Amino acid sequence: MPKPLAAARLAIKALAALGVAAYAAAALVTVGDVLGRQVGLPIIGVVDLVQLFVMAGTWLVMPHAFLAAAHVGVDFLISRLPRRARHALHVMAALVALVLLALMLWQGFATFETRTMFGDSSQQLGIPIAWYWYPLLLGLGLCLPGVMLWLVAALREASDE
Amino acid sequence: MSDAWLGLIGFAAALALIALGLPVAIAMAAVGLLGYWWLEGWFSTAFVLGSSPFESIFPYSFSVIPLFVLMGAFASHAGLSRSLFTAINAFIGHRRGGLAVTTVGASALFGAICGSSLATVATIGRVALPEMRRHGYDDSLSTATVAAGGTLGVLIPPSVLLVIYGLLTQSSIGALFVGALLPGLLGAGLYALAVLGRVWADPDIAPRSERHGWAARLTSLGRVWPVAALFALVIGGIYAGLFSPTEAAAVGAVGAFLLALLSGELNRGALHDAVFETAGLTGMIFFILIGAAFFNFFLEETGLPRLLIAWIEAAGLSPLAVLALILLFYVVLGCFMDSMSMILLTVPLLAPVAQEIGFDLVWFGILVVTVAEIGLITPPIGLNLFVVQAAAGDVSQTTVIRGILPFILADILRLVLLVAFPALVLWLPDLM
Amino acid sequence: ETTLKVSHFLPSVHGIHQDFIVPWTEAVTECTGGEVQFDISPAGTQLGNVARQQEQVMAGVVDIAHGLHGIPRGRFPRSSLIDMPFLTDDAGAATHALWSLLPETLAEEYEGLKVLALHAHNGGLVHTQGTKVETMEDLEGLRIRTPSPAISSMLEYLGAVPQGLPPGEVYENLQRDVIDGTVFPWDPVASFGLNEVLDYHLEAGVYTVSFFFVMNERSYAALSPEAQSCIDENSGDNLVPKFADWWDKWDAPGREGAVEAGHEITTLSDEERARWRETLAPMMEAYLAEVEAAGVENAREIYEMMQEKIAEYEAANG
Ligand code: NA
Ligand code: NA
Repeated sequence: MPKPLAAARLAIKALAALGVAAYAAAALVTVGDVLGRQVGLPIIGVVDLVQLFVMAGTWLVMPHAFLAAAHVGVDFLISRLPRRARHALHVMAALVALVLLALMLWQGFATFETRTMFGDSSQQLGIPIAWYWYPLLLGLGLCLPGVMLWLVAALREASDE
Repeated sequence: MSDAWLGLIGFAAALALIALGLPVAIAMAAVGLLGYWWLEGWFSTAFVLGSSPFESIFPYSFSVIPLFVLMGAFASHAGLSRSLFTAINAFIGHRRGGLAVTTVGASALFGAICGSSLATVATIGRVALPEMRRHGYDDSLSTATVAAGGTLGVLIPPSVLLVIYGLLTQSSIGALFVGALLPGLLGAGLYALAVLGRVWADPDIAPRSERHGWAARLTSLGRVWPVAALFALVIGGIYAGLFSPTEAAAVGAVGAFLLALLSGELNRGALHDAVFETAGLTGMIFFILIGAAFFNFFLEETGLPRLLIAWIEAAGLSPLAVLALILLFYVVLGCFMDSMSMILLTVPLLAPVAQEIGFDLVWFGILVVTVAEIGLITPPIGLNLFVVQAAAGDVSQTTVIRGILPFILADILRLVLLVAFPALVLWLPDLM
Repeated sequence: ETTLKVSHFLPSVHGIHQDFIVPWTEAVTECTGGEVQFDISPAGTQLGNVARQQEQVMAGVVDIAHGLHGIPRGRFPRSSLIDMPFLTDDAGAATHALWSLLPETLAEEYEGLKVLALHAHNGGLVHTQGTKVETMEDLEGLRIRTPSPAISSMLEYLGAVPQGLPPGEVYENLQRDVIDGTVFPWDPVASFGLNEVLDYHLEAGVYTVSFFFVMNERSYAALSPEAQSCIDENSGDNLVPKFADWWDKWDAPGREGAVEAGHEITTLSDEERARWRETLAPMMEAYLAEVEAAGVENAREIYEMMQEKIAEYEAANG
């Protein structure tokens, strides 16, 4: 595997671990609030925090999910096609995904700019909305090399015939 | 060509792309965006592209998805769920299909905690699939059982879907909750029969294990307490008012982690697997939700759902025929939409129709919610089917679909019973 | 023939959809002799997200939108000052204040938009289960669901524990005793079925929440002069005065439901009201300072003008 792609794979794994840590943080802050309010020490704005952690977690795990769950789909037709057609379809799927993610990243960035320009912030704590967007942009950005890995695999498979 | 036709073509195109092996989320997103672009132009499409990836994850109520998945991953990798299934196996493993029937029961029980079908499938899937495989069950039986079991939870309170239906139709949420109880249990019972029927027809898919003596049974029971404690904590906490159903997912995740730590089985390898499974599964569920959002922007714009409803209304059919058409309509729509979007989009249009015919709105609501959930397990596109495939890791969609038919038949039977005997729904609320 | 897209965030059974938006579109369609048609997306549709109304009408994804000034927070800092506690408990007065301040004072918040109407709901109440609230002391330690930062901060000053929650989750949290109460006007009490899970209602009239009904300026400019005048005839000064009665009508089912269920409805006494105001004085001060710091230099001045307009309305309408 070419070096940059190997590095991408490693980064994607590290990010996924960080994402699950963010989920854990969402769980902990909720449990902290549940316990704290029994003794009159609630965590103010816990909903804002949970949304932040879940948002961050989800986008950080997304590139890994792309690699890990690329197989989820309907296979009864494709598995009956000739090998050549099958490989061509795999390449096409990766290309469609690539274009889609690039469009999402591009327009996601535009939306991020609009919302930060308005100074949007979370409902209770007033956390700048940008913090909810950084993981999205990072995650979407890293989905691109994730799908490239996928494309490389599909192309290699196609050329192996 | 009217836009509604375009909606139908969109359905067909998405199906074709999925049949050609495109991942579901990508196929729905691609068709949805192209269709929306065609109808609304680039600027509106750009708005959707920029905002939906954010809005599909942002709602607070969605936090239950990753947190219950996390709970399931800890429970399964620390061997907590294995001890549960070992115990159940010791008691009923000598009966064919016992573990699958147990999985149905576990799904219904989990429904008392969780209001999300997808989260239930992901959680129970993580717990039950490896155990059934260990005991030699066929993948088509085990995955289909888990996928179908996930639909039981909406009828067992807490249920966001019923709350939303109540708001939309101004019917009593309390009555809906109570009225859903018997149909929910009926659903679980019929699923158990579906398992037994399948196993009776094809005994090889669920091998019997040897009969265990009482000593072995009691020993196995001794190891079950962590899982029992976890369930007691989560369900007890909700019903005692210590935390809300949404917060329960967080309590469950932290509880499962602590129990896993106590059990001593949470070594590096188990932790590693739990983390990366959670990452893969939740990422995939949310990406499907994003793809569905893109597709739904398009579908709404075509006006297809509204047109179909207007058509049902205008056809001048008998009440029973109208009801049958409405139910069919939901099954078809369920191919693409999640049940929440379906209820929100269609109930305001359909409830007046139902009311005019003279249907009881609580009874109608239970029917609608039931049938909306069936869409999650009907091929070619059922979100539960995809989630269970992801949870299983190495099972093909064909295998899942092969096993699902008996459960769909069970659901149809349930609908027929609810239509024939409205008292199944209305008896308990009338006692209130 | 033109089809204009209208979006809002309320379910299609709500009075805002049935009494206001649908009849408004029908009136415009009729006035234009069918030239202008409408396509309405309420809550539950992809365009029905409460936080996106302003954005989608600005971007031209829809032509007309009805949304909340306060969500997302900070988009309409001037107009949102009407949401401050104790300005008025009367939808008519608050609506009048907003509308009469629009041209001179608030207009800059609506650049690129044609404002068809602004309005605000009747004073919100404190609804509780289990504990009856009559005084500040009764609120001590109660977990109360809050709709906005201003109300959160108010509840904290009064001794309660504010809990942010989406409106759709209030029922289940009350049912499970996770929260003790909620602040809401009467209207959502009926539409969210909350009379099933509440016991007491304190008519405190301490806050309001405000709404905008706006059109994309480019969409407006693209219409024929006849169609434009049809929109104008049905909007602004001809639309805004209707909200006082509408809000009374929309609130009625919630109150009736509570009476039917045998709940106790109390009105905040004048002395207690004065105590609350006094306790909240530092909070209001801090809140205004915060709005000023966020770039609205004349926040205090706007606040005072709102008070004047409200007094003016109350004097005229008894
Ligand atoms: Na449930
Ligand atoms: Na389906």
